[in-house]
Amino acid sequence: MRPLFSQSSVAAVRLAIALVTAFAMMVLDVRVGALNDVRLVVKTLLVPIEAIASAPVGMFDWAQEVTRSRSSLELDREQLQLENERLRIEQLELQSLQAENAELRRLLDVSQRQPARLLQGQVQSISTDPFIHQVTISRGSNAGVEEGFPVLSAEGLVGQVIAVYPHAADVLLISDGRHQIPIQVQRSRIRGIARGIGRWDQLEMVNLPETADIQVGDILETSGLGGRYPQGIPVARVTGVTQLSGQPFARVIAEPLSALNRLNLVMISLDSEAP
Amino acid sequence: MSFVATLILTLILTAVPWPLAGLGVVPHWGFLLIAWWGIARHYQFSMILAFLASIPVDVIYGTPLGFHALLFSVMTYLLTLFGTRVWQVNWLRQMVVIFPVLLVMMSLSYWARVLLGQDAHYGVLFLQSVTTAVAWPVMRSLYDWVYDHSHHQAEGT
Repeated sequence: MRPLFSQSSVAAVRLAIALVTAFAMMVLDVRVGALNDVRLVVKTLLVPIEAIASAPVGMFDWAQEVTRSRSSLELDREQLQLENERLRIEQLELQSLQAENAELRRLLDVSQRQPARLLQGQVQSISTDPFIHQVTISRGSNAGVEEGFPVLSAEGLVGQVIAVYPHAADVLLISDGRHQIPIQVQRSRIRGIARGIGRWDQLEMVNLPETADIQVGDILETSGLGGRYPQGIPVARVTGVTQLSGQPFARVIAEPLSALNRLNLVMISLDSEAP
Repeated sequence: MSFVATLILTLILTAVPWPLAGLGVVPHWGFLLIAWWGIARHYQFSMILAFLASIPVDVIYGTPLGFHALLFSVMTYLLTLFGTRVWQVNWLRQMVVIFPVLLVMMSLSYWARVLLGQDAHYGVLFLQSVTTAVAWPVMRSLYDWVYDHSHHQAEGT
């Protein structure tokens, strides 16, 4: 007796059900954020697997550290001492400027800015998808990290926290194609939006009029608009300004100040203005 | 048990921190897992297992949950159509069959990524499908070994 349904039609029905479920999951995850708990559970289960996967790299780093010569370590120490001296001098200058700034703000009757509260974290893993610029850091909700918090390096802005677990958090880097930052040019105070274009070393400024006062070498910093990032965090340096003929907007390319492809230690700003 | 063992191997390979400059040439280990189960152990494999395998892969890659479920389901379906006939041929012919399947997968991946607002480049995905197909013979042997090992352990032999 011939079966009522062939093997391939049963498989086609299963495929249809799987596709509908997959689409529903994507919508629930991306638009609604309803699957955060599933991600949290799976992420927690994956901790030992990620530890095993990164063990060879960790051992290589450790072996490199152990086999470093004494002369190399002494050279490092000298460089760190010089760096320390330079930073101490800069700190003195900064204290003087802060006092001056506070006095000016008092005279202008403007409220004082609170110093940023920072939390140090370490990059644990990096997404191995070629189109996703995302890292996992070693601080999570147990350390007070929340979704939307800005993440910085010593050089400038790195990205923002997009998912939080008890002992870790996922950070979307500024170079990711889904990331946009309200920025301003430090020199001319022109405002715009910088977006990632999926390259570790490039951001693009969008919708900037071709007459805008911007030039190669300008520093871009967060403008504070939108409430996601505090004002004044350095983001990138302009590396190219191209006037496109017949187009009302200039093409501006900038290089992130943080070396996003070599991140190790990062700082999480606990003063996000995000809701 | 055997499925879990091969899945763990796949997840470890997926989570290995490869140099960022060369991410485009790292094979997609998840597709190789589905290819192996769809071809070598199709009678033990189902779309539900493919679906379950996709969730940790999504979490490691940082893709939205459901992204790899979509790809793995289509791949499982394609392999049910002709995968059973492929196991008997040698590894080179298997590679030749797997490569177009991977190209279909990468095209679907490209389309889904564009819908999700990612800056995807088809050239990178094409390159990844080439390296994934090239990795097939090695991974096939590795999965065979893991399967045999875990299967015998489960049977207590």
